[in-house]
Amino acid sequence: MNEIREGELLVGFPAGASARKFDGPDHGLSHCMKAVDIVIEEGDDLILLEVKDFDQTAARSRSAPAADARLERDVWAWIGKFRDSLLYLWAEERCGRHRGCYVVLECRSLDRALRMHLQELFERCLPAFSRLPRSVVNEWKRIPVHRCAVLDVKEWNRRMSRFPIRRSP
Amino acid sequence: MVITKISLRQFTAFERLELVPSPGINVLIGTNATGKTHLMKVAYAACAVVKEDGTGFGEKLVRVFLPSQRKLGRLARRVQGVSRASVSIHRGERRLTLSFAANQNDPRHAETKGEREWVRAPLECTYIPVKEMLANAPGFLSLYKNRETHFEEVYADLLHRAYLPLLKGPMEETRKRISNILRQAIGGKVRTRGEEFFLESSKGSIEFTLLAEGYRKLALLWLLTQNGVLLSDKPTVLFWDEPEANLNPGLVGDVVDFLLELQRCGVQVFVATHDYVVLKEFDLRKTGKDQVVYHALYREKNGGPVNMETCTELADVHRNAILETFSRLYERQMDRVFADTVAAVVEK
Repeated sequence: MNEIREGELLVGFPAGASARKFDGPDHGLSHCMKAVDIVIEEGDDLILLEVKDFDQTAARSRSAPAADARLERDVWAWIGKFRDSLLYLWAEERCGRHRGCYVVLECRSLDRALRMHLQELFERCLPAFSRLPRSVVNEWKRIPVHRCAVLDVKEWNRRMSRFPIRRSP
Repeated sequence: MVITKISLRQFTAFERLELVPSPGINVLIGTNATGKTHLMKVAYAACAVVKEDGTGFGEKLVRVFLPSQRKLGRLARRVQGVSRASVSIHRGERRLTLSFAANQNDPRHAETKGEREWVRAPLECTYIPVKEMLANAPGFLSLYKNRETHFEEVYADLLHRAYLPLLKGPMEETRKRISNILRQAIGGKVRTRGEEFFLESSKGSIEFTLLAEGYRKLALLWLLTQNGVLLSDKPTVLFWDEPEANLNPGLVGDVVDFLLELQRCGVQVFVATHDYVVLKEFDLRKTGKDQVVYHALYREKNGGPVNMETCTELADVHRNAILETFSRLYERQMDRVFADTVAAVVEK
């Protein structure tokens, strides 16, 4: 199992999969695009991962997201990153068959009611396949995002056990 | 002094319960039938025992709970082997205790202790039930007084308080500030004509029967603030059952701000809620100096006695029935997201 680091979190990926940090300057378009933190490819699967770790040691003194307004702004920021990244990967012809967009959000003060609200917004506005109108599904030749979810590490590890995340300060 | 302890033994849903409330805000949470309303009603009945009308604690309890045939014994926990129930409400050194047998019919024959001392230091108290009452106020008090009606006394008590005239003299800054929170939310002032309530705003005068029910509750609070019931020179306790009922979630923040302000002025508040927004607004709006405590009532097994968990931080409440429901919804939503629908889609 290989691992790639994002802050205090290590994201594991199995042999045969590749992972790269995507939010640095390497992609050459920092002046005009925002990118997600990590891109993982395994066969037909393309996983775009944004990590928001409000519980990491350095961030504990800072205020975690609280008000709905702040959270909604965050969702729109994530959406921009995912859309830019998908466009870039499409231009590289690396846009896999199954595209999943995930935000791993660690935040003790964020309960599951608020997490569900974020999930709804994220699914609706990205938009995920399940939220596309029938008329759009009939016309489009490709589905940009098959699945998207906002999860904490525990839920991610339960649902995405091939790519386990662990904390390592 | 406000309420410092509530002890219940074999009373309604409770086998044995001791609640040490915050002198500030007490938020009661729990599924239906875990005794939130009972807990508030028993404390209210004690607070509402006053020297003037001579109604004892037992009688007040019966009028507030309204057990069938007004038999006090019906308030004992209905479990085989239970023969006596007791309740004690503490205010510092003062303690009002009522003890009665499960087959006790007449509340006047129940054993009461501490009543004489208790009524020497009266409290101001208000109980706001789930059902709004002001719209139906005209004629209600005379009906309640002269006829056998099956209304819990909390309704009549509330109307007596709402009908009190406004306080004399200029309004002090605190009362003005607190009233303004509500006035802005309802967009006007409340006036009484005869026994009828009206909201007066720049748009005219609207009778309460035509006013949105959520606004009626806020208007009631405005009235109780203006006439000194909620900001009295006596120790004051407010009991409010499900403040969220008929209220748009967008207005809950104003209500919570209002309650926090009351608490900052020394009013003790008990709120029973089923609503996530109420909980979260308290969590987000309280400041470091505010005294907000969450009491979670729960049963280990169906039909078993009610237990309680008390926490000062919402995140620390383990038996949070409201969040447990959201947690289950989140699980189901994630199940749907991760169901392999993608595999069923043939990419065009």
